[in-house]
Amino acid sequence: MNLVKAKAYFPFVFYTLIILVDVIILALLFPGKVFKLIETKDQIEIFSTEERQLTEANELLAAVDINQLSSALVIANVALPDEKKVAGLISGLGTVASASGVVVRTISYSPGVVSTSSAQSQNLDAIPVTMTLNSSLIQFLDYLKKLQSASQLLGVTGITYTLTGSSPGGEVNILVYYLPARAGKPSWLGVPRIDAEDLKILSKISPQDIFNLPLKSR
Amino acid sequence: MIDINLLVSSDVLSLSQKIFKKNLAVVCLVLTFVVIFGGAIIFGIDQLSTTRLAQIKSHRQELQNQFASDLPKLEMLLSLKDKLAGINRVISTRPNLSTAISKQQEMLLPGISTTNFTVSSDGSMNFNVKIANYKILSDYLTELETEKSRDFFKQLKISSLQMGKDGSFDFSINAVFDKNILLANQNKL
Repeated sequence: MNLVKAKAYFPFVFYTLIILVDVIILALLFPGKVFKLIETKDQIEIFSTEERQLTEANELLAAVDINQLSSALVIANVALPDEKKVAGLISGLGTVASASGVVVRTISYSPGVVSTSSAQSQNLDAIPVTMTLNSSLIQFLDYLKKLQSASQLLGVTGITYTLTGSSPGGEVNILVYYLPARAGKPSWLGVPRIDAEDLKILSKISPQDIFNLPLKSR
Repeated sequence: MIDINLLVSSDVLSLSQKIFKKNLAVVCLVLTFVVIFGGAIIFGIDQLSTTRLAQIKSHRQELQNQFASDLPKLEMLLSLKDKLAGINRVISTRPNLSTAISKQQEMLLPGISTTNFTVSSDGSMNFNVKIANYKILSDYLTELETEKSRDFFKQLKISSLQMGKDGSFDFSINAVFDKNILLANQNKL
């Protein structure tokens, strides 16, 4: 029984062995070519993948409306500047206060001091600013509302207020948020999509107020 | 006793020898064919692969050039994406402290005034209150116990109650606001 099976399979095994030997002979005869073929095959795979990724990235970028992007970025830049810009902010805080009938006594911040608590937990940086004010409670609440809905993102972290005496007033602690510049060169692997949901976020920011000034003039 | 395995092995060996002798010419031919044509195929594939690689490299370079020209657009896009994420995070986690003060003021009855207060972003608030007389104090404490009050305050502690010579009362209220209410009011300014 075994002999019959062996006879049936033998030619197949025999000729397979011959072909295998041939391949080995070819590899021995042209080793450079065979290695080059393997190397070229690998390179084709790598470059084809990159070609596909680049095509996809370029298509995504081509679909972006530059005008829409620029106008969205203007609002986003006001809300979250790339770097610490406080000079214009201080005059903005003062102007909004005057509009609410609040008298600003002092505005203080320490250059170079960056908040390390709540801001960094949100992957943002922030400059802590302290203001001392005088106003009635109604005026102060109006000012507070304006601060919290300003086009530049501000976070009121603490309030201490005294309402007695001839000149009510107190102290407000504010975080002025900004987004540090992104490090490193962008890659074609990281082209993001901005959809309508993303742009809805911008609608939550006041379109116009005293903070909404061109960055160069701030 | 006959070793059946040995018998089979010797049979297969003799069979292979027979086939080899019988097909020696065929084997030589196949070997020559494979070496010549196999070599030609290797050279051909190598040529084709090299050409294909050059084409892909060239196209990739074109795509890279196009990508490089769109790089400012990508930088703007990444900046916008980061900023939108940052804005969303701040807006959704920033408590509206004016709500806390307004709510506290809304609950004041005639004859009650706040002398001073402190509020912090975690929703905790301390306010010192002056109340004209015991009747108003009683009404105010009742007001603080209502369902409406419990909607806003997670925690309420009254301390330092002092009665003045004129029958007025001073005391401190330490309150913790429900932060969800302060967050929910964020966009209702």
